[in-house]
Amino acid sequence: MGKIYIIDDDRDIVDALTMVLEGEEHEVSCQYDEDNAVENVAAFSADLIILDVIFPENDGAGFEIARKLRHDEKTKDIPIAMLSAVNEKGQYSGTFSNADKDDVYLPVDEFVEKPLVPAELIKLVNKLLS
Amino acid sequence: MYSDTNTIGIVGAGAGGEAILANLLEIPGIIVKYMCDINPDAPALELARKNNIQCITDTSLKVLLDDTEVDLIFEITGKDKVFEYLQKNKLPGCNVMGSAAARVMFHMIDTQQKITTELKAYKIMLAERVMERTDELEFVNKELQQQVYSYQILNEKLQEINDEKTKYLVNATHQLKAPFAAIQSYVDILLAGYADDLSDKVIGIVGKIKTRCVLLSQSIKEMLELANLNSCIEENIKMENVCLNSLIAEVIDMVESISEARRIEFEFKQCTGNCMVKCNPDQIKTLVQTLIENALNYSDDNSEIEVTLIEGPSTRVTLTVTDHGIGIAPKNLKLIFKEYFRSNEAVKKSMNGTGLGLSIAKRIAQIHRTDILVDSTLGEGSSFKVAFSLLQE
Repeated sequence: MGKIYIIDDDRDIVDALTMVLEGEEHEVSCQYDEDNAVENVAAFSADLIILDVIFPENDGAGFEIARKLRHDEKTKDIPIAMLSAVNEKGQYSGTFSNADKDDVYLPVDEFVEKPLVPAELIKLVNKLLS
Repeated sequence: MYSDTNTIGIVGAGAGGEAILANLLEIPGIIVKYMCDINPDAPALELARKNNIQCITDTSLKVLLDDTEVDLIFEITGKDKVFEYLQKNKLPGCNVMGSAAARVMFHMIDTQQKITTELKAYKIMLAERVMERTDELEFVNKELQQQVYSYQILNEKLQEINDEKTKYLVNATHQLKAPFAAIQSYVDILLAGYADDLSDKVIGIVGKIKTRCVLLSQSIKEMLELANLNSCIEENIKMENVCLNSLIAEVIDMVESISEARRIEFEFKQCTGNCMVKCNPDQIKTLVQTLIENALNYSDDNSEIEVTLIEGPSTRVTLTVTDHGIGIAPKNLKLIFKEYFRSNEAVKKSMNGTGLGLSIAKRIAQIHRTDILVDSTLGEGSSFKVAFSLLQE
């Protein structure tokens, strides 16, 4: 089973994800803010990162964290699943999807809209860990 | 012999001679050399002296007649004898003009001068008018530049407002969706059995919570989507070249599991000709999905839905979605595009509708310079048509 690191300011979402993931015997650790994400992920030796987009003081913090993770030697190869309640692109008109992934703006492996039903979450995690 | 200058002598320095002298002094190329009159106090003599013209008061006029420089002599006395004397004694190269001929000539000169003066005045007036118009044009131009500048400022402000609105929508979306996502997550966890086994009764209740959660989630999404579409700057919408056959097939695939479960068969007649359009693919997908999901929602199980894409009319390609479901009463045909409107028949058939789908689809059609046409019979089914402009090759 894998080591999964969750970065999300919503404690309920983190708890719900943890319940499902631990139920599937994954090891889970988390943080509720955007601070020192790269160092924490590296220290946990995560196999997979689940990352939120909007944080209290920074609407696009998730994108910035993803970019930092991608540019750090210790974390650049760890898959990232970006989960967000908001998938509106705003001025880009439309919604984010996997088709929008790119190395600069959305450097993640999967972009998924919350909430994710347990079966889909498990499927997503298994795909990214394999 | 022709010369650029004419040397003239005037005989008769009365009022007529004075007028002629005054006129001749104004004409360039004419030199009045002599002014002659037996009356030394004649008025023209005084004027001649002032202009350094030689004055002759003797009757022989010998100095005048013997001067080879003189080309023309004006005889203004009106006396035939004087005219005849001058004709008789003039040098061969000199001409004598009588008072009548002189009057005609001076009338012509006068007229020419008047015309010249008028022309000059007209020229000045034209120049003034040109100046005035130039000033007016400069003023209008400045005003236009000011207006262009004002529009630029206004446009920037509108852009700022739009950006603010977008930010607000994203924030509002987050505020509404984030806690809701947590609720849905826990409902899903309960239903998936991650929190101990639940009784069938509890599962039934949680299932109902889940259904309403899904519906509310859809409502929030559609409300925000419509707000976004209603306030978007159309020029900013990203347009791409899209094959409608592929896009429609993709949407039909998305609803395949539902249609299979209800044994509703989709018959998709693809366009055999050109079906490339310039559109925003996300928006057109939403429009097509709305029409197809509506057809599914308001059809009976074991029925058929026909989706056709045909090239035409003219430079368009027309999508038609036809179901054999509940249909729409004539009085409701116009209302179905109104926000939140749902007919009694629609609510009876399907609880899970927001009443926003067709409003969103209509707005998307407007953004793409088209419209949605509907033909329906209550109890027999409905047919929705949209014609898109083909991509010009």
